[in-house]
Amino acid sequence: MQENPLAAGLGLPREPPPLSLVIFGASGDLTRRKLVPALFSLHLKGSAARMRITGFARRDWTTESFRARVRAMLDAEDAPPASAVDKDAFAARVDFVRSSFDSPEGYAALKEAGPDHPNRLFYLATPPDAYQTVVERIHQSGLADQSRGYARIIVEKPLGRDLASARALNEVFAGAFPEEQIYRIDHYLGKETVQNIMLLRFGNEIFEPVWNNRYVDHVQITMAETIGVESRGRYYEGAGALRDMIQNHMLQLLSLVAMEPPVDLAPDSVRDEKVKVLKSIKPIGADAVEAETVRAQYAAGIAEGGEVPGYRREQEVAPDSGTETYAALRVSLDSWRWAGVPFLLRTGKRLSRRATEISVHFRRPPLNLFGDRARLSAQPNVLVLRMQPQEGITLSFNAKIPGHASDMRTVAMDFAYGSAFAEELPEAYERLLLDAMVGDSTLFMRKDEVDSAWRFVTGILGGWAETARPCLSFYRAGSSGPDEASRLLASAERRWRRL
Amino acid sequence: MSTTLDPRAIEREIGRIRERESNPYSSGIKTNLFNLVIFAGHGDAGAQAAGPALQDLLGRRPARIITIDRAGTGRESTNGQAGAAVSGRCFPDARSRGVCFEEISIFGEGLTEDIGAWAPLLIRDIPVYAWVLGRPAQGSLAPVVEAAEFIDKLIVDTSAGGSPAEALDAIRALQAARLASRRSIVVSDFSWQRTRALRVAAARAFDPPEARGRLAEIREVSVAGLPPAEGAMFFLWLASRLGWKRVNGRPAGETPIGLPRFHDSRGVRITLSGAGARDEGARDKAAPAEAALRFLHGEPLLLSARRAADGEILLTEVDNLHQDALLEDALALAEEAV
Repeated sequence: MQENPLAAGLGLPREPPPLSLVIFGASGDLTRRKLVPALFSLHLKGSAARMRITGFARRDWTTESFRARVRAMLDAEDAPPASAVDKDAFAARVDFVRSSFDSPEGYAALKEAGPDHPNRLFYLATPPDAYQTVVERIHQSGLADQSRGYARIIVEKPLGRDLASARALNEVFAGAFPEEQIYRIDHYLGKETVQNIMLLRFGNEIFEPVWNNRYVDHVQITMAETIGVESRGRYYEGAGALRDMIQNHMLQLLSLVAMEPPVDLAPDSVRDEKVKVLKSIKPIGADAVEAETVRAQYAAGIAEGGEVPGYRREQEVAPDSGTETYAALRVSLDSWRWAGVPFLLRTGKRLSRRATEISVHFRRPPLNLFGDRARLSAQPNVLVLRMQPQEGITLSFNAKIPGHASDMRTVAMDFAYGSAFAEELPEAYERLLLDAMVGDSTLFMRKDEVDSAWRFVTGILGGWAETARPCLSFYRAGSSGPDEASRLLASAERRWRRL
Repeated sequence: MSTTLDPRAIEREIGRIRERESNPYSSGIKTNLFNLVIFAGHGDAGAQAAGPALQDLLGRRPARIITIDRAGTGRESTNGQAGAAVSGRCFPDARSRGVCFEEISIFGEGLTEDIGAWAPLLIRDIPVYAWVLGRPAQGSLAPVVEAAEFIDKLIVDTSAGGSPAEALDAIRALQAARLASRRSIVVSDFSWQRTRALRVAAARAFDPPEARGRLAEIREVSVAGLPPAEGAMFFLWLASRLGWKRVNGRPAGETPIGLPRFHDSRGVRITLSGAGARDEGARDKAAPAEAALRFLHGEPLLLSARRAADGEILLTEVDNLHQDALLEDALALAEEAV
């Protein structure tokens, strides 16, 4: 069949087919804070005009009461601004099925949904321990049948707690859905500034030639938070910083910054390259954890403008807890491009400043032409990609100080996303939901990505358990982390970027 | 404040305004994404005609805006001399970042449109967009063509008033400007962009493979609620995409929207009808665009789509610098249609 000649060159906006979106765990926090605002924003843009939304939860709610709750969510301060008419119209698109996750009747009710929406998208916004039950019930009730339209599932982290449990979970999903219909979400990949990493690297000519071990001394990836564990003490006790942040978000950032150019932007082309990076990470096992990792826990201090307790005094946290709230790693990649370049990863709670950024630290020039004074005051070039806050890019370089001497100092060229594009960046969930609806899995994790990330992290967890090294350090809340982190730098010339 | 056309004096004044308006909590980064040079005073299009669209842009993209007001609307220049007024508008966004327009207005009689009057005021190394207000005509676009080395993109509105014949002239003037610049200037048109949603709706209607066979059976295209230029643009797009040609030997302007008659690739006549400029709906930019395609067999396809507001269009235009190949095809067909 010939192409549609009228569509050529128009850049048609992406429009999902008629679909039914079912949110399992619709009474939860994720639905209120992220999913409903994102779906409402898509509704306002007309991006999902043929979608009905069904909330599925155990709560004693009806469709009417669920609609009232959704309507109230849209009145929240951080909801997209809109008229009452728009809010009412969106709420009218929402249904509710009251059911436990293992009740076949609940799934039968979903199956009775009208024939106008042949495609089905299931969102698991439930606690992870419900994943297996929900997926098996979806399968048993025939809702995962692919013959009428697509049946697709979006899964939230945590995707397991080690390699074995992640593989077991993948088996559960694979029993009901083909791999191409499983969308493992890492909301970090939906952020504009994270997507900008690929555009910066492969949409410009000047960066890629120096993006290798000939010019780069090391790379730092930082995800620092000022908040503590808040109400997530019970979850966090079983997770820790390594599982909570490094296994997913930070290794995703690492793979984006280190990957080779994909042959095209097809989902598997991009994900193939990311997987290669993850597979090239040199394992850190029992013999290397002491040298290559740091783990620490926050003690009492002052953060976010007030006195805060140490981690062990937080709610639902054991008073002798050994869970790390801070982790730092020195990661090596066994690849032609990156051999010999350390990737320094650090993440922590209750640090002095909230910051997510990647900084690429370049080598010094091969020859010191301008004397020792200049060398002492001039710093190596650093390219900083700031994800949050104040999204943007800074390149520091050295310039001559006016005068008769050849003195120089470091200055910065700064690009602030918000100063150039003064619009609120779209919420990550909005982009990711639309991608899932239209079948674009580029920004979702494939099974082998999750597998590779867990293999690496499980090695460290095993090394920590086996050797009880490195010892858990402590840092004051509101500081920039434990002093022990500096030993990962392995060079007097290197410094962690100041928070 | 009012000043002379001395670029250094103008820059000094902009610097003072920047300092005054800067947000003490912002990073202090001064960013401008582009220059926008507005040519006003052609026909009855005073500088204020750009106001609503600019208002929508304010706070979203920082820019230097140079308005060349040939008619000096609302100003009194001294002794007929050209002068300049400098101002700044900063809009604090949700994060208290000041997003600013640097505005320079050049007014008065004489050589205000001369390159030497405004080119030194451009910020170098960022794109330059020229927006000519009023209905385009060969004369009104001449300053832009002459300054092609300074300008990256020309923006006009071919539906700014006028009869069907004048609309076609305006479209042809745009094509002439593109050709005169040896295609170095990207051209764009508000009218063209206002038909985008209608074009998308038409394309979507033929997206299902089973619907595509009907493209060869189109016998009539009618438009409603559109100024003649927009109706012509929609038709020219269809014709260029479907390979329709002008019927030889027939005069231009014999259809209600100013275009000549066309036939498809097999020589079958396509009837073109429309309400034309007298349609009251055509005056209302908020009115939806409507079109109907009638076929050899079966029910007609009725299309209705919201027309984008001028502010939305201007934002789209200043965010891209590539020539819309579809517009270029439509303009080429308009040239042939005379």
